[in-house]
Amino acid sequence: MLNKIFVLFIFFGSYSKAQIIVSGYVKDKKSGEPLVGVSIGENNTKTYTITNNYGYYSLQIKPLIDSITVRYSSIGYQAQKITILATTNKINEHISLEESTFELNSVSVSAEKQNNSERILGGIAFNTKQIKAIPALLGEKDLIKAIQFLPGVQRGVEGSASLFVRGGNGDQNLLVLDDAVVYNANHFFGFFSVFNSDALKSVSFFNGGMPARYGGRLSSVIDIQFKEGNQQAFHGEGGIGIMSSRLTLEAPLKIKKKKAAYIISGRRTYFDPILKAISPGNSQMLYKFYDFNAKFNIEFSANDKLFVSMYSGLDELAIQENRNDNLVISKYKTTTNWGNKTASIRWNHLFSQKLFLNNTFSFTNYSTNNSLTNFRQTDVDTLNQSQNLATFIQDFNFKSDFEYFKNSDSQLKFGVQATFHQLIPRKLVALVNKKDIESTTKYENLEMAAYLENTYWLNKKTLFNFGFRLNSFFVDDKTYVLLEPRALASYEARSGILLKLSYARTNQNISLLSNNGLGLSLDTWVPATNRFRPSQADIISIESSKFLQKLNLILTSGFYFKKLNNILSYKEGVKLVSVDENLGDFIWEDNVTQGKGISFGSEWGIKRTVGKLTGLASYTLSKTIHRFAELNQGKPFYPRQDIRHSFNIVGSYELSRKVKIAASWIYTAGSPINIPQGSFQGLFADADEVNKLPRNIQPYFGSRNNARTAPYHRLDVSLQLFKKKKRIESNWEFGIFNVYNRANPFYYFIAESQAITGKGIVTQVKNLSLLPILPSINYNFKF
Amino acid sequence: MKRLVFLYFILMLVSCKKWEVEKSKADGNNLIAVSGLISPVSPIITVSVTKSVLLNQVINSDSLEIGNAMVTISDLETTLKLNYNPQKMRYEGLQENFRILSGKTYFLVVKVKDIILTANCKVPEKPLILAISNKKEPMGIQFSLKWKNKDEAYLIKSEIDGLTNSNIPTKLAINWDDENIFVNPVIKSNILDEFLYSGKFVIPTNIKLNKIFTTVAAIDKNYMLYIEKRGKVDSSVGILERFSEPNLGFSNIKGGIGVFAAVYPVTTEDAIVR
Repeated sequence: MLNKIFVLFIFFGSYSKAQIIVSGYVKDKKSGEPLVGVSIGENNTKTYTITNNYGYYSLQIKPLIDSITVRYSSIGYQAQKITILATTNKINEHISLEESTFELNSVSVSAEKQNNSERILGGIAFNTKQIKAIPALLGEKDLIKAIQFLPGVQRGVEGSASLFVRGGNGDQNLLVLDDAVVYNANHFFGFFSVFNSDALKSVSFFNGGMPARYGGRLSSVIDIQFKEGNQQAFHGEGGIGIMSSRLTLEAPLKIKKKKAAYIISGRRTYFDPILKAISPGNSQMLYKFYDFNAKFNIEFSANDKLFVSMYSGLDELAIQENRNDNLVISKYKTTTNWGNKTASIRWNHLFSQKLFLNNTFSFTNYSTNNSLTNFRQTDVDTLNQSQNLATFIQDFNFKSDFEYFKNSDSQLKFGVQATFHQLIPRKLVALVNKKDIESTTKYENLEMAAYLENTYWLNKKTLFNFGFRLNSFFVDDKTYVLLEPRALASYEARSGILLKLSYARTNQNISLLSNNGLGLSLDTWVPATNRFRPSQADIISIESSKFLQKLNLILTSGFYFKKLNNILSYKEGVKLVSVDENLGDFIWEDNVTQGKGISFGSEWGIKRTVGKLTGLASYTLSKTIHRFAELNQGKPFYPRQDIRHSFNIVGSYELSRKVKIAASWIYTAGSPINIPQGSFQGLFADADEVNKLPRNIQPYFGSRNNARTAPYHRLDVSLQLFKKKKRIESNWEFGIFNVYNRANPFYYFIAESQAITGKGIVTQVKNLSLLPILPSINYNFKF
Repeated sequence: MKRLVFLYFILMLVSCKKWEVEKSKADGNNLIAVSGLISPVSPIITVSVTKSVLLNQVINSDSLEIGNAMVTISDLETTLKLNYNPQKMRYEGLQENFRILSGKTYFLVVKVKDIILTANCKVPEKPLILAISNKKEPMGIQFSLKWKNKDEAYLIKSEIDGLTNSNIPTKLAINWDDENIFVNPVIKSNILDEFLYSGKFVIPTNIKLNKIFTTVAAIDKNYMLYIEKRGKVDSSVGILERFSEPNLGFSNIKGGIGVFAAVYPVTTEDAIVR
C-alpha cells in the first residue's frame, strides 16, 4: 500500500520542464520581520505560491515570453511587482513589503489574492493586523477570540476554556506556538488567551483537510508564529490598561558580524491588588496571571538560520477565609494555579533553491495545582485537613520538516517527528482524619510520526493537497500504528466560485479528561493506554467561496461530517475531588469509558478584509451526538459541545486616519447540561428498611444532558483614537465589554431552600455569572 | 459536484437515524414513584406509591402520597392485593396470605388511574453463616463472620448490646478501626466461595458488653444497583460535590421511577467472650 502511494507521489512530482526558479525571503520593510503566507504569483503563466512560516518562497515558472513579472501581495501591505528577464534560470529575490497606509489603496491586493494564498495553505491565515482589528476585551486583543468568530468555530459557556471546532471538544485542537505544543491556551478561565497579540506574527488555522504535516489532534490546528525581532532598529510596543499592562521590546543584534535580532514580551494583570482592596476583612480572593515570551534569531549564513524561543505563563487564584473568636478558630484556604512553559530551538537550512529544511527541538510543560487547607478548632473538636491535587504533562519533541519545491506544479513536504511524553494525570497528597494519603500515577510514552504531502496543481484551476501521516504511539507492551490519509482538492469554477472538498483521518494519543457535571471543570491530560486506544476522527467537508470584487466581500459556505471513535469520557457518578479517605484510591482508568460520536453541520461566512469597513459575520448550524455503551444506558446523547446555532459578527470602521470604531456581537445557543428533573421518595439503603417507611427524598434524572444552558450573547464596542508623533505612534482605546450587561452563565449549581409556606423544601437550579458590563481604557504605544 | 453534495446529505440522513437521541419519560415530567422491598422474614409486605416533584415545586412529603392506587403482587400463581394504610401512608399485605420465598420471582403491578407501573424482582437465597467468633481486646473486640457466597451482593451491619455504667441497656452500631473492612454492599465475587467479615472494632470503655448482633442480608441485583447509584446521584446534583460526573440513578419501575427489590436478611447473635 505504502509503495503504491509513494509511486503516486513520484508520478505527480515528476512532471517538469525547463523553468526559472525565483526564490528568496519576503520581509516587512520596516522591521525586517519575515512575512508568512505572502501570495506570490506570475500572472501570465498563472503560477502561484506562498511564503512558508519563515518567509521563504520558491516559485518555478515556465516563461511564455522573454520576461516574467512576479507579484508579491499580502493583506495590510502594498503589493510589489518585479520584472525579471528570463535569461538565467536561478534567481534569488529577497523582497521587502511596505505596510499600506490606506487599506483602501490595497484593494487590488485584496481578498482574491488572500483566497489564493489560503487555497495553497489549505487553511485560513491571519496576520497581526487582522487580530488587532477586533474590539479589545478588557483592553486585550485576543487571538482565540478572533478564531471564535470564524464559521464552524463555537464557544462554550462563559469562562469555559473550550474552542469547539466542528463539534470537537476543546482538547481536539492542536495549538502550536513556534513549533512547540501548547496544552492550555487560556488565562482567567478562558477570558483571555495566553498569546500576547503584540508578539504575534502570524496564525494559520486548519479545520477541515488538515495537511499531513500536522497530527496528534482530531479537530483543528492553530499554528502560531511569534515575531522574530526587529532587524532594522530598536522598537517597542505596549499598552497600559486598567486590568493589565504589556510591553514588547525588539532590536537587531550583531554577533561576530552575523545578523541577529531578539524580541522580549511580557504581560501581567493587576486584579490582585484590586481584589485585595475590595475583599472584606476576614476573607480574600486573589487572582493574577502573567506571561512572558522571548525569542532570538541569528543568521549564520544565507542558508542557515537559528531561532530560539520560549514562553512562560501562569495563572494563580487563591481564596482564603479566617475566623478567630471565642467560639472557633478557623483557617480555610484554597489555591489553584495553572501554567504553560514552552521552548523551541529551530534551525533552518537551505540546501538549494528547491530544498528547505527546518529542524526543531521543542519542550512543553503544562501543569495544574489545586490545594486546599482547612483547619477548625473549637472547644469540642479539631479538624485539620489538607489536600493537594496536581496534574502535569511534559513533552520533549524533535522533528525535521523538509519542503521540496519540485517544479511549478508540485511542492512536496515531508518529515519525521519523535515526541517523548511524560504525564502525571493525578498526583495527590492529602491529610484527612490525621492520615497521610499520597498517590501518583505516572506515564511515559514515545510517539513517532512520518508524513508526506504534495501540493499539486493539476491544471490552472485545480489544486490538490494530498498526503498521509504514519503515527505510532508506544504504550507499555503495545504499539498503536495508525495511518492517516489526508486529501484536499480545490477547483476554481468559471463563475469565480472556489470549491473545496477535503477528507482527513486524524488520531489523538493524548486526550483531555473533563468532568461533565454542573459545576466547575477539573481537567487532566491522559495518554492512550493498553486499555484505551487512541481517539480517531474521519472528517469530510465541502466548502465554497466566492469573491465579490465590487464590494470586496468574500462569501463562504461549507458542510462537514465528522465521525469520532474511541473518544474518552468519565463514567457516570465518578467523584473527582472530595476530601475523604478513599481519595487516594482513585484510578482514572477505572473511571473512564470510550465511545463514539458524530458531528455534522453547515457554516456560512461573509468577510471583508480591506477598505475602511472591515469585518466578518458567521453562522454555524451544527449537531453533535455521542454514544457510549456505559453512559445514558447506551443510548445516544448530546454532549457538551453540541451547540446548535452560533452567530458572530465583528466589524471595524475607520472614520478617519485618527479615529476607528469597532464592535462585535456573539450569540451561542445553549450547551447541553445534566440537571435533575425533580425529586421522589426512595428507599433507604439499609437492610432493615423492610419495616420502615420510605421517606428518603432523592433527586431523579432523565436522559443524560437533558437540559441546555441559557444562550450566551454579548456585545462589545470600542473606540480607538490614534496619534502619531515623530517617533511614537500611540492610541487610546475606550471599550465597553458586555454593553447590555447580559448575565451569561459561568457555572450551574443546585440550591435547596425552605418554601415560603414553611412546609417542605424547594430545589432549584441556579447559575453564577461572572462579568457584568465593564468599561476599559487602554493606552497603546509603539516606538 | 451536485452528486457529491447529494451523497453527503444522504449520508447525514442515514447517520441521523442511527444516532437518534431519545427523550426520557422523566425529562420535564412528574412521575409516579414506587418503593418496595420484599423479604421472606418480614411478616408484612409493604409498597409505597408517591408522586414525584419537579424542580421549583415544593417538596412536602405529606402531600406526595397516592392512596387510591391498585397495588398487587404476584408469583404468577397467586396474586395478593395490598391495601392502603393511611396511618403509615403505604400499601400493606400480610405474608400469612402470600409467602415470599427465596429463589422465586415476584411481579408488582401498580395502577394509578390509567397509568400502569410494573416491576419484578427475584428473592435471593438465605445467607448461609459458616462461622462466627469474637474476642475481647483492651480497646475493643476482634470479630469475624464467615458466610457462603451465593447471591449478587450482601449488606452487613453489626450492633453491640451492652450496659452503661448506670446499668442502662444500650445498643451501639459498630465502629471499625479498619475502614477497609466495611464496604457496603459487598458485591459477589466469582472467585470467592466464601466471604469473611473480620476486623477489630473500638468500643467505649464505659460499656459493659453482652452480645454482638450482626445482620447479613443477601440482596438482589436491583437493590444492589439502586444502592450503588444512589450515593453517586447525591453527589451528581452538586450540593456537596461540584467536581462529579452526572449520574442517572437506577430505577426498575417500568412506567415510573423507584425500585422494587428483594432482600433476605439473617441476624446472628454471639455472646461476647470476656
